[in-house]
This record gives sequence, structure tokens and C-alpha cells, in this order.
Amino acid sequence: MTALLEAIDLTVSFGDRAGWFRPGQQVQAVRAVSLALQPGEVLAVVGESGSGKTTLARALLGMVPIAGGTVRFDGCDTAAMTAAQTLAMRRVVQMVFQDPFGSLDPRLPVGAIIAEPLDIHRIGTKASRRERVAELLDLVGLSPDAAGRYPHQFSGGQRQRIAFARALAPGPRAIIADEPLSALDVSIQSQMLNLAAALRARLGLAYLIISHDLAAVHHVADRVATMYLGRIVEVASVDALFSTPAHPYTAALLAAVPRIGTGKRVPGDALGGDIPSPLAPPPGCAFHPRCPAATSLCATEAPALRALRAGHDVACHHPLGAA
Amino acid sequence: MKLGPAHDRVEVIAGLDISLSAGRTLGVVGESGCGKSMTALAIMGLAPKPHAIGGELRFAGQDLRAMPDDARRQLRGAEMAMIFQEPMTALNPVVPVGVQIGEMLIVHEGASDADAARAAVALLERVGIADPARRARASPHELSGGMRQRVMIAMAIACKPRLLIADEPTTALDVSVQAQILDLLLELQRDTGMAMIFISHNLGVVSAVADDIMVMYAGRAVETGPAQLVLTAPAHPYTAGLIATLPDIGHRQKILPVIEGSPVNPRNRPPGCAFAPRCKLVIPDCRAAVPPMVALGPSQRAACIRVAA
Repeated sequence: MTALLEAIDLTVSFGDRAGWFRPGQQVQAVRAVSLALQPGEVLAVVGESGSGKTTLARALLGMVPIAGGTVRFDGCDTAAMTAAQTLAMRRVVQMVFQDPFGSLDPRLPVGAIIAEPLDIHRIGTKASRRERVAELLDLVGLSPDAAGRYPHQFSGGQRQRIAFARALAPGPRAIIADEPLSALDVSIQSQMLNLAAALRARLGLAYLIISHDLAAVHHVADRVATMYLGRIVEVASVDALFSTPAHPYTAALLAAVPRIGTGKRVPGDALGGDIPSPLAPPPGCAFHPRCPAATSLCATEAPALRALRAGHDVACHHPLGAA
Repeated sequence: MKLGPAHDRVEVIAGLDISLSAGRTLGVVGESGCGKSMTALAIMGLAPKPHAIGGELRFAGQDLRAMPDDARRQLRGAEMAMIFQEPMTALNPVVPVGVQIGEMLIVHEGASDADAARAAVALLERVGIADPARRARASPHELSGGMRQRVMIAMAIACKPRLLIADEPTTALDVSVQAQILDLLLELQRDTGMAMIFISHNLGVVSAVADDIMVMYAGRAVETGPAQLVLTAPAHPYTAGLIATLPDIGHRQKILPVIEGSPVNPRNRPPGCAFAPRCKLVIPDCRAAVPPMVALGPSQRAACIRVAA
């Protein structure tokens, strides 16, 4: 099966030119990442802030320049695509952002916001677009009269539904969602999770979800990739990753998720330290300064991402449960 | 408590009873607009003006509302302190963090500059910052989010307060750093015996630190009780709904239970029980009068006529 969207050895770096008083610096936000989103699949990317997960999503969509490697869409190298092909790709891969207050134009009525992708991609006639907007509003659980109102008249959850409707407008095959829940109230998050699941079942959508909410990821994802300092350190099916994490970083993240009904925390088992600066990544495995299982090998040699078993890849010299 | 000018006042908190003893943590849970932060600000004497506060507010037997502003200011920072969600907006961006911590001791305890500087380094070490002497000279923007939150905690505990109010202190942090900060607060409480009010929308986080819980909805308390009891055997339909809607690792459901609708703003609070429009158990009587808090056992209380009956 051809992957819908695929990164091969993808590297993204940000840099500034040397100034008068300082040398130029290059930061590799994404380092040699290979990851594929299959049609109809829900793939989640998790990791702490600064791990490069948002940059990876943006690079897949061509929103940031690529320093190395390739991005393939439906098997075609996106760097070699014509403008028309790029536009076609952007029609079928849509994005939903974290903040529904910042991502909707406050001066446009909701109907115009949702119809905008239809205008851009010249889909349908004026009348058919109006019909499509009503259909989309219904699909995301809003009433048709919402089309005439403005974003500020809606709550955060309703705005995220509007953002969803806009993403669905041109009939995408995949939606890339960057922290789609974190700005929403707790009781609204479950409504959105159910909506995303219902839309997937109905439209056969693939999702690439960027999230730090591991419980939500566990609920929706088929596969999960853990990122640390720009690299993928583990990829596995959601069940394998949550029940038998192989990378100590994944295990530490899972252990840190506060859960209900387990009683008060006993201080002492938190993962120490912060994610290091990507300006000065540690030598060897980037996680070794915080890793409870680190050895001298980890400090000198970066582990490659390799298959631990079928469908479970890990980049660790001493994967958990391997011995 | 009512907020806003006299002709347009909104009752943001209504009929709240809280009592907290030394060494205990009260977790305050609710969604945006439920009044949890306003409760904290009212206790601190920092509620936005103009406002009108009714009822009583006592701290260690003193009537806070009768206290002159000066005395209240002395109390704040020394006896009761508060930490916020986003340390970057609470810290002065152009003053080294060590100076900001030392300032607390100069203002409240009359410490000399040199003593304050020394104490600031010790406090930074106490909150788990490596290389504290060097970090004391850093500006807030040079520190990571987790370290900034540690700095704010150092400021808050500088004068050994008897009450620490933490308003969503870990919401802006990653889970791993969140665990570190929760551990730090629990250790500090164990060592100093301070009382804590811990405000969060995250039930898991509250579960990790709280002894008792108060669940708020639209400015009112809807359920109170021991944390583990409220979280494992919730009585109020809102509490039960909130807990049921959370996806849980290890227990995957095809469709999550939901609470329909969105949280109500105190300005548009419906008559009777504010949760009635979203409640699955609603009966006509729910809309008739605000349900009183009813004891459901030795320690759990809920404001719902359906569970009390």
C-alpha cells in the first residue's frame, strides 16, 4: 500500500545568519525522521514541548523548508511536484490547529470561513457551496444558522467544530491536527474525541495527531510515535506502546500521566531534568542525561531506530523488556 | 462575590463554604468560568475591582474582610502566597530571579540585601534548581518553563507561608515536568506543614495532590469530600460526568460518555440548579430552586436533589 504521506530521512533546520556580534547558529528541529501515514490510519506523535513534533507536521505539509530528506505524498516526491500538484495535495491534506480563537478569522461569518477552502480550490458553484456549508455544519454537530454568525459568538468547543468543518470542506483524505484538544474544557474534549472518531468512520479519514495528552492519544490512535529532541525514538501500535513501551523515555512519559483513583502521589519517581536545548544536543543518545538505564555506550553512540519486533521500532541501546 | 460596576454586577461565586486546616490540601476542580480562580483571588484579597464580597473570610481566626489594606498586604506574601499558571507573566522579566526572591524577604522580614541574596540562593536550591548561585543571576526568559515555575514556588515559600494557593500551576508544563513540580509541592508541604489550595481542571493532577476536593460549577460548589472518595464514588451528576468523560489509559472505550452542551457562564446562570440544562437526571424540580449542599455520609456533600433523595 502506498503511504498517503511519508517522510524519508527528513531533516528540518532553523537557523539565522551570522550577525555582527555573533556567529550563525543552526538548530535541527527534526533530525532524520522517517515516518509514514497510511490511508485511513490514525497516527499520533507524542513528546514534550521542544521535541519537534509540530515542526514535523508542518514539514509534511510543506509549511517549512526542508533541509534534508524527502516528503512523499501518494508516492510522489513533494519537492518535484508542480504548483498544481501541490495545490491538489493541500486539498486532500487539511490541518486543524490548537487554538480555535486564533485560527478563525474574527471578521468573517462562519459560513464564509468554512467555504473558504472551496473558494480557493474552486469547488462547486456559489449555491452548491452554500449547501455544502450547511451539510458540513450538520456533520460537526452545529445548527445550519451558525453560518451567518461570527466566531466570537461561539464557545471554544464550538469553534473547534467550525475549524473541523473548514478542514473537511474540500473533502480531505487526511487531517493533521496539532494539539486539537488542549485549549478545550474537559467536558468538551470527550465530545471532540467522539466527533473525530465518528468522522473517521464515516469518511475514511486518516489523522496525524500531534499531542502531549497521552490518555487522549491512547483513546484515538492506531499507531504512536514518540519524539525526543527532533528524533523518533519509538514507533509502535497503540496497544504495544502503552502496554510494553520499549524506550525508557516513552515509559517515563507514561508513568508521569496523573490518573484518577490511584491515590496521592508519592514524591520521588518523577523523570528528572528538562528536555535539552536543540542548540547543544547531548552526544550519543540525546536522552542519556535523563535516562535511568544509561550506560557509557549511550553517552558516545547514538542508537539507530531499529525493529524490536514486527511493527515496533525503537532507538535505544538497552530497550526495556528486551533482555 | 460579585464582580463589575454596581449597575452590571455578575455573581461569579455564590454561597461557597470552604474550610482548610494546616498541612492539608484542598483541590478545587471545575471548567473555565466556574469561579475557581476568582475564589483564590478573593481569599488572597486580589479580586479585580470593582467588586462586592458578601459573607465571611477568616484566616487563622482573623477576619480578613475587616482588615485594613496595609495589614492585608503584609499577610499576603508572608502568611499566604499564591502561584499562577504562567510564571512568565507573574515574574518581572528584567529583574534577575534571585533579586525577585530576595525582595520577598526584604519587604516582609526586613532582611538586608546580602542576607536576602544568600537566602534566595538557598531557596533556589530548595526548589531543586541545579547550580543555584548562577541561576539566581538569570532573568526569567533564560530559564525553562519548569524552572520558572520552580522560581515562582521559591518566591511563594520564601516567608514560609501557612497557606499556599496554586492556580493551575502545572497546566502549561509537560507531563514529566508536571510530575516534578507536583513532587516538589508535596515535599514542601510535608516539610513545612503549610495548607494548600490546588486549583486545576485536570482531575488526574488533583487526584495526585489533594486530600479533599471541591467541585465547582458556574460559581457554586456542587460536591465536596475526601479526594479519593469523590473521585471514585462521585455523587453529583456533574462530577460523575466529568470523570466518565476522561479517556483512561488501560481502559479503552469505543465511544466516550459525554456531557452535552458547554459550561455555563455565571452571567447566564439558569434558575435552580445551574447544571440542569446539561444533566441527564434532570427533573422539573431541579429548575425550581438552587439545590442546597446535603451530607451524603460523614464527609461527602453534594448539591443535587436527585442524589439526596
